[in-house]
Amino acid sequence: MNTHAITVSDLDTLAADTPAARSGEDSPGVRSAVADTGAPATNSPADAIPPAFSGFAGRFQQIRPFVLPAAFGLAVLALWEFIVWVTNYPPSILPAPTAILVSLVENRILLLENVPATAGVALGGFAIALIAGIAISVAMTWSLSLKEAFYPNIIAFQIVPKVAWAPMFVLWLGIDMESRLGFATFISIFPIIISMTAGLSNTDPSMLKLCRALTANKWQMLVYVRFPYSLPYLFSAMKISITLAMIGVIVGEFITSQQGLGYVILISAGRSDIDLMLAAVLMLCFIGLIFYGLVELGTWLVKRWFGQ
Amino acid sequence: MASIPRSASLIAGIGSAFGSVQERAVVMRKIALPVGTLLLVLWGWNYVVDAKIFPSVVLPPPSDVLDMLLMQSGFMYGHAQQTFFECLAGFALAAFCGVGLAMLITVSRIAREMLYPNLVLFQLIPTIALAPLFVLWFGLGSESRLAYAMCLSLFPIVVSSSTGLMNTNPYFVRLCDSLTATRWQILFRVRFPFALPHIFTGMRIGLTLAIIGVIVGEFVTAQSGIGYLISFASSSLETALALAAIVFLLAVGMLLFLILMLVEYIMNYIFSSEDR
Repeated sequence: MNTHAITVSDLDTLAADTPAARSGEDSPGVRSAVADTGAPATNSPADAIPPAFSGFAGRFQQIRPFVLPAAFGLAVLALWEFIVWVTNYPPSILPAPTAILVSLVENRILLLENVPATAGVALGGFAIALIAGIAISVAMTWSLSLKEAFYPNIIAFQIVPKVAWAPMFVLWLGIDMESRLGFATFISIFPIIISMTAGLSNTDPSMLKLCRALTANKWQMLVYVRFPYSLPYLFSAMKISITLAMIGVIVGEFITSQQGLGYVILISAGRSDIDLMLAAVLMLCFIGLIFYGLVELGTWLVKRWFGQ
Repeated sequence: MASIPRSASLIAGIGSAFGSVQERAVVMRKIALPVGTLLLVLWGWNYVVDAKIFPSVVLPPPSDVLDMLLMQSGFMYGHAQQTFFECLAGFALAAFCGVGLAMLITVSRIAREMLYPNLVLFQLIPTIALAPLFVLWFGLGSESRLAYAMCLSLFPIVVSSSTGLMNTNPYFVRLCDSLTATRWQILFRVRFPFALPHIFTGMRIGLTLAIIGVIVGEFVTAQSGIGYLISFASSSLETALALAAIVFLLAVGMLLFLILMLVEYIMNYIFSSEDR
């Protein structure tokens, strides 16, 4: 409870600091006061900005896009903390943000132990979906009959919310990892197929005509023209797809599992241990961010490779 | 020509009223191929079941699913109705709040700068993982699923609507500005009609997510609804019932999308046919 109180006040001062700093930067009076004392005001982050934007108003305009959302987010967190603290709200319904952080630190071993089960299956499902999805869309671009036969069915199939199939995967593949892997693949393959097919078939026709005139064969056109052209489509689909793979694994873990962060969430919610539950959600956010970063990194690498 | 059955040529005729034989053949192909594939898959499914490759618990024949659909339709209809109304209400709430929030973000710069990055950041939270929390907050009843569906479908609607509202052709906005239109007039008469395609793109994603929210909520609360039916049926190895429930869910999803398409059509009609 003691650590609790300290962090509460920390957060409050943090939130209180930002608007104060903001109003300070707004008024030129404060600037002259700082200049008069002659103190090297290196402790203010605004001073790091080059002199072209000197003047506090100008500087504030510079940092405004970062300060405002951060201040708002912190203010909401502080208000949340404050309300919980003042009203003595039962932590089994709404724990304070700091309590969640404390729980995250306290249960770090439990949480970290359950990361591989969730993240590994999500990555595995995503990888399978990526390879299979690209293969399917290449096949559909290769043969028009194949595309006409399958594509409308795939689109129609999309209408059923795919999470509804999760229990079926448990029935088909058992309660072990396979069912969650299968379901994560299933749920994340659709965006890849749809975007990749769109990318492969929307290649600039004049480009294709040129290549045909230069006697390129179908395979060469696919590898050297269509594929690089469809990469932006693929990358935007990958971002959706990795998120969906995570969703697939979590839903799978809700339905059946003995490990993983989804399981931790369900069990801790059942025990009204909301601190731990939200700590697990926070952990999922970190994993999601890392995955997103990995996809961005992959995008950057491939762009550099194909960019020349 | 004469060999094409009458109904098929009628379908082809819809595609191309003045089409040549080749064009009709193309349209025929576009319809016949996917339908044929679907039938082929059903036939393959039936064949696999007949050959007893899998036990019927794992894969019941299509005819069993159909029987289940016919026999249990009254029972499933009640569950489907509940799911349908929860999806609709959750989505409607999200659409209303989402477009409202997007308008606020568009009109006020300070609201935009405060909220928008946080909204984008908030999307990183795997909201699906919060389902048990909503049950805790709102109980096992409809409220929890409604709130959860709303929470899930709100973000795409806000992000996509505000993109549309903010990216209106600046010349129109400037013209209206110089004609002394107020901010709100510009918002409702210029920005909103221009943003309609974006708004409805966001709504389509939002609707999908609202359905997902209700289904996952039903998985977690396990009281009633199609999601409950699917998870209950599959855990008691009634695979045919689970598949039939998925078919019912397909119908619910199609109905919801039809309603959304209708609303889109009406909105487009209202905002494009008049010149005031």
